[in-house]
Amino acid sequence: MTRRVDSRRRALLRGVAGMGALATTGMAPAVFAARRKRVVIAGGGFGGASCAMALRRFAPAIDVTLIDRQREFVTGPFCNTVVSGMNPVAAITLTHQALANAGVNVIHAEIDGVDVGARSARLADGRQIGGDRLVIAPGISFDWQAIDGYGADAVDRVPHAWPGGADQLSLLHAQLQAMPDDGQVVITVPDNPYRCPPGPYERASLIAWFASRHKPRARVLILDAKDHFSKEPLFRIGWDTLYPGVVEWRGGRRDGARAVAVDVDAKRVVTAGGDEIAADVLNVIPPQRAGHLAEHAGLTDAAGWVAVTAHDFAVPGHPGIYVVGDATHAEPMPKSAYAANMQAKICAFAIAAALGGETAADTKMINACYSLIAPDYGISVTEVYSLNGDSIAAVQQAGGISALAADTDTRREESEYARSWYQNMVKDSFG
Amino acid sequence: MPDLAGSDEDEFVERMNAFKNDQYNNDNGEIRPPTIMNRIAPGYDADEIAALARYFASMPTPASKTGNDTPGR
Repeated sequence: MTRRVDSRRRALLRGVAGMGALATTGMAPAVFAARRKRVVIAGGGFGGASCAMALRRFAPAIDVTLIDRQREFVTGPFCNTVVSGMNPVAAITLTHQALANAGVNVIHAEIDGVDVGARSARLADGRQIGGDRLVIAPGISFDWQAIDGYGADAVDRVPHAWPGGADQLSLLHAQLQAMPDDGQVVITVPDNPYRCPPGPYERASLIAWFASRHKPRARVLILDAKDHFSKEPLFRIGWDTLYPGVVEWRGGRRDGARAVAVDVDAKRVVTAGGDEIAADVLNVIPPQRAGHLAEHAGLTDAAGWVAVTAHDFAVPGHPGIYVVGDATHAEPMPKSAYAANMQAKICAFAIAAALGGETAADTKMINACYSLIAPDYGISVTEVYSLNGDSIAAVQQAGGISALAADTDTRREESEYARSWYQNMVKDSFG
Repeated sequence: MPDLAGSDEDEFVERMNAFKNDQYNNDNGEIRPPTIMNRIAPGYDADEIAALARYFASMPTPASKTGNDTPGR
């Protein structure tokens, strides 16, 4: 490591990362001389990749292994640009190559399960990959029991596209292309918490944009289990401005709009309020919980998510085990790629400190999330978070959504920032 | 938009405080008001802003801006 990089690392440890204690003594190479410490990361999405990259950048003495079954990772962020035909799926398809180039041992293999006692992952080919610390970044899984008629076998006809890989996104896009000019698109949205709170409304927006170009009389109906939704005033302003009469939202308790049953062949939805609604294109976003790796390891609670200690994302009662990203209880942080990246870095710094016999100082976290209502119309929400004991608290004087009264230049600027936000997030996480 | 990497510590602190206090200069119409930093900066105190300034100042200045391969363009 060069002197310059070392000073940069020290500055980070001293400041941004909040590792005051570690920076005081430095990370003495002697600590790692006896045996190289190893961190194993199960899951190569934003959380897992960010954790691996942060460890390589700021604790290069630690050996890092990342395991994921997929060689290609299609991002949730910007997936609605693929659904709406703004981008080819290749534009949001990542690999782990830059992580490997940075020195991460990348293993592409199916993980049968994790042994939390041994801090190891059990691969389908029989290998056991263990380490001094095990980070599990399993993402989400879907509750296939929640909506009658919408099980795992239904997704080939009625996609969830959340995001579910290239096939799911391409299927939904193809169905939009094939629908009649006056087609009705129905999107069903679950109650909180779920991955990417504003995502369904961005999807409705960009489908309306697609319709404005290709299906001029089409409509988009959102059937929502909730009474309110992320960035709601901004989406409503955007819909009224750009797509008047095209996007309709029906909400939870007021309209009984939660989807309770689906007929995937007839493309019909039954709501809690008893309405039967026909769709030309039906997109069901099912209720969610932590990914199977966490669930099968017995780490989830009754609600289906993993409780962690907020300053390091360790799982209480399971020494050496950490969970980051969408699978965790990290309220009030949303389940977003940006939040997963942030949590993974907090986790990485805590692990680096612990393996060096130190304690990482507490630090703040942030979430920033952009949505597109049209290719040149962007909106955002951000929050800054501090630790309040072992829980996470939003800093009251910071955060919030874009200005409600903003000119078209401002919306255009935010659409540009949305694209750089995506790029920066990908670069910071995947290299 | 100025690079953060290699930026001057004092300028960084000044800029963050301007975001924090909503006192950016847009009188001449050339500098547009911030869209998001005015929502983020109030979350950080003086020590944290100073630490951020030290960190970014310690980073090497980017050799060149990368080309535009952003999705959506």
